[in-house]
Formats: sequence, structure tokens, C-alpha cells
Amino acid sequence: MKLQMIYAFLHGDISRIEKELEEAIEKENTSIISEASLQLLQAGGKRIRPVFVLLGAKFGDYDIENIKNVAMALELIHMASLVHDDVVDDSDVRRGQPTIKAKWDNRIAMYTGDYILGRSLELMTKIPDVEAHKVLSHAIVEVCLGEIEQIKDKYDLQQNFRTYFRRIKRKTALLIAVSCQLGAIAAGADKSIHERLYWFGYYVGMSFQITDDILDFTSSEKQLGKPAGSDLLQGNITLPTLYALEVPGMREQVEKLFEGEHERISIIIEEIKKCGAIEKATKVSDMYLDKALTVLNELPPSKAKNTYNKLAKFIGKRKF
Amino acid sequence: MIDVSNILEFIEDVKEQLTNKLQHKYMKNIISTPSIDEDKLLLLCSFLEPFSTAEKPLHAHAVSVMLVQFALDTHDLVSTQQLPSDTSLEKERQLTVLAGDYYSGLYYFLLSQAGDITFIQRLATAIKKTNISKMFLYRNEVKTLEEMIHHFTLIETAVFTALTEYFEQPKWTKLFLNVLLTKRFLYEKQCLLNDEKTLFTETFKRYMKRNSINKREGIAMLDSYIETNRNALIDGDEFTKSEEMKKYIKSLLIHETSMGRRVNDARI
Repeated sequence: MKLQMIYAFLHGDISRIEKELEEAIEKENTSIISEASLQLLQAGGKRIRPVFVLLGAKFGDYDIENIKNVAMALELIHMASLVHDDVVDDSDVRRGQPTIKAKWDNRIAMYTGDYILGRSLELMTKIPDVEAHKVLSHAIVEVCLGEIEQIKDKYDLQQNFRTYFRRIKRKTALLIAVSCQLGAIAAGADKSIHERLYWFGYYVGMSFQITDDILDFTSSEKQLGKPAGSDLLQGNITLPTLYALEVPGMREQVEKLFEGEHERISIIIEEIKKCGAIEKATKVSDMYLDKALTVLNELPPSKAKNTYNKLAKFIGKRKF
Repeated sequence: MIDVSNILEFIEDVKEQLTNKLQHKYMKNIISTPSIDEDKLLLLCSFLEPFSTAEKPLHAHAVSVMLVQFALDTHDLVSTQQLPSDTSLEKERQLTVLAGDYYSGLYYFLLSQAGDITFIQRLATAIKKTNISKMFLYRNEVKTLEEMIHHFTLIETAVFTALTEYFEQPKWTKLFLNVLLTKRFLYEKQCLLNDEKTLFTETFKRYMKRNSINKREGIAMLDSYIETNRNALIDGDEFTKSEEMKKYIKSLLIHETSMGRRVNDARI
């Protein structure tokens, strides 16, 4: 089943958000900033954050006129971070297209990202609920801290499982968690509901990132759009590697890889696949998915709940 | 009535909060922490302090304005050249990007805690406008000197005038504008004389080249802008000429703040 099929009943609202996102960027300027932002927007993406926002809002008084501002803000915040991430990672291609920093340069990418952030916060401030802003701003700060930590932890073989989980919480899970929660807050849902939605999104996000980290070793270059083992080659130590490091001799292999013996990557990938690290990491991902579904079960029955259920399973169990 | 001792106390509090926010254990080892522009801080706190009450303190507003300016300035430092991967230079660039994002996040966080959604929006608009103007200058999309000055003025003042406009204080808006631009033009003139590259000097040099203006004439043009802003401060209006303001500036000079020194430097 295709991802979009799961939330087909939201198709009209998602299309509208797509259209208004373009208008939001095009409306007030004709400069290159518009061209750069639109390129990123039109390259697509799963729009998973707006979908999570809209579904969260279904637990309260769903009013697309109001909720679209949160959905658009979340997508724009995500986009702004992608533009800056491409500078951080020195990436030239995203979603099959040249990145803004590759097409123009780093400075254009910085200005575009900052512009998009400003635009997203403008949209978000149409939501008068202070609680919503506290939730989102806290998440944004944590995401930044997560990215800073990722730089700090690169090539650090002393890091432990706790460091990894804290990093992926900040890097991925938080923004998915608050997407679900903010939809509900903006629609006036009860605290007991939006807090559960936060935890649902958090667990889904953790499962999503762990699956992503597993796929980096198990998928082909064609499926990934980058060579297998890229995370490790760039010094990023993820859950499968942490498990593999417990195997005698593995630490030395990775150390040599980090010292520049990049040809070792294929041996290391094979070792990671053989030593049970993938299975152990999958088990943790499944555990988070189970937790997500347990929290979801505590919510009243609805079409949105069923959709969240399907989305969680799709995201956690995806093969590439 | 402007009370200098209250302002100085307000400045100290804001400075302390700001310094704490900027102290990130890891980042400070790799990249330099932004230095606080004492003049801007003084002007900002002088403006805000009278509006601040025990029930509604405005320290978060002052800290937020400074953080947004740091965020915008920090991203101007992101280098464009190709760097070898996994070097200290690359790490420096990576953290420069993330530091700017972090300061923006902190501004939003602080104002959310203060519950001021309208001011979050005003600063967001200032961020947006500043980056549009930066793009115009950076991409050399300006044709006339007036256009160039317009974008440059916006870049230099948008964040601060967002505050004065929010409090509906047009006289202060004008004061901020004149002080910030005088300071900035003096700085840019020095950069031009020393052949230092800034967003302004690069744009201005292109303008001079296009219009066959030599360096001496270019400097004279900048001097004229400096003079205009300086005169606006000296002879401007009743607000800047008021006894209260004169007394205030005199008190600042007594306290030997950097603003006082700059005011003397600029012969205002």
C-alpha cells in the first residue's frame, strides 16, 4: 500500500495546504529567495508532518482554516532545517535535485532557510494559544541541540546507547511528537488527548529513526540514493553499530575505518548484518512501535485513530 | 522620567541572561561566542526599561531582540568556499550554521514563555524582511544607490524597529534608525578604506564600478550619509533635543558606557 493511500480522506486538505504553502512563499517577493524556496517545496516530500497535524486536529474541533496554519508552519520549519542541514552535511543532492547550496551557494542557503523560518513563525503566530508556542519553541531548541550533539558525537566510539537515544529523540522524534500534539492543541482537544498524541508521535518518531538507521545498512545504494553504510562512513554511530561494537574485534575495525580505511565499510556492513545487531535494533524499533500503538489504544475510536495506527505501522515497518 | 540607575540595572540583568544563553559548553570551544554590542544593548534597554514592570518584566524582550540579531549576524559568517571534509574548518562552519539556528530557537522559546505571541510575530517578520534584503544585496539585484541604502537600512535596523513599532514609539524608531545607521556607516567606511569584505562594501564596490565612481568619491558619499544621520540626531526633533534626553545622554557619558564613547567619536 502506498503511504498516500492511508490518508486518502485528507487529500483535499493536503492539496490545499500544498497550494497555500506555495502562495505563502510567492506572495511577497520576487527575488531568488522565492525561486529557491519553491524549488524545495515543489520537489515534494511525504508531507508527513502536516498529515500528523491534521489527524491530531481531528480529535478536537477540526477547522481547516485554523489548523492549516500549524500544518504549514511545521512543514516550513522542516524545510528550513533541510536547507541548513545541506550546508552542514555539504550535500549536493536532495530528492533527486541539486540542493540550494549546490545550485547557488551556502550563503543563499542560509538566507533562504532563515527566510522560511521567519515565514513559518509568522504562520504559527496565527494560533493564539500560548501553550502551542511553548510546545513548538521547546521542540525547535531541542532539535538544534540534537544537531549540535550529532556533530559532537561524530567518530566518538565512547558514546553509549543513552547518547544515541537522546540524539534521535531530539533529531527526529520530537518534531513528529509535536506535530501530532499541536494539531490537537490548536483544535482545542483536551490535555489528556494532546499529551497522549505527543507520546504516540514520540514513539513513532523513535521507531522511524531506528528503522532509518537500520536501512542505511540493509538497503541497496539504489534504494537509498546514497551508498550503504553512509552514516558510518560519515562518523555517525547508530544503533546497529552500537550493538555490533559489543562483538570482539569490531571496535578495531571501525577505528580503522574512521582513520581513513574506507574500503573496510563492506566488511563492516557484512559483520553488522551477521552478528545480530540488525535484529537487536529491529527489536528496539518494534518495541517503540508497540508503545506507540498502546498509547493510541487509549484514545477514543475514530477514523483519525485508525489512520494513525496504519501510518505508524507503515513507517515502522517500511523496507526502504 | 528616564532613570539611569534603573536602566543600568536592567542592562546588567539582560546582559547576564544573554551571556548565560550564549554559553553552550561545546560550541564555545569551536566557534567564538557573539560579542554583545554595548551600544545596541544600551539603546535597547533605555527604550524598554520604562515599559517594564514587576508584573510584566520585559527582560525576555530585550534578550530576544539581541538573540535574533545574533542569529542573523552569525549566518553572515557561514563561509562559501569548498572545505575538505572532517576538518576543524568544516566543523566550525557546521557549528556556525547550527549556532544561528539555536539563537533563533531561543528567541521563540523565551517569548513563548513570556506569552507574547504578537511580538514573536513581529520579530519573525523582521527575520523574513532582513533575509529578503540580504538576498537583494548579495545577488546584486539592486540598481540604484537608493535601493541599496533601503535594503542596507532594513538589514541594520529591522529587528530593533520591530520593537519600537510594537510599542508604537515612532520617535524612538527614528532614534534607533539614526544611531544604528551612523554606527554602521562609520564601520563600513572603515572597512571600505581597509579593503575589508562585507555584504555592504561588496555591493557598494560593484555600484561604484558600474557608475565609474572612484574610492575617494565613494567615501565622500558614505560621509554624506553619516553626516545626514548624525545631523538627524543632533538637530533632529524635539524628542532628541528635549531636556530629558540631553540629561539622559549626559548621565550615560558620566557612566562612561561605550555608547558615551561612541557618541563622542561620532562627534554627535
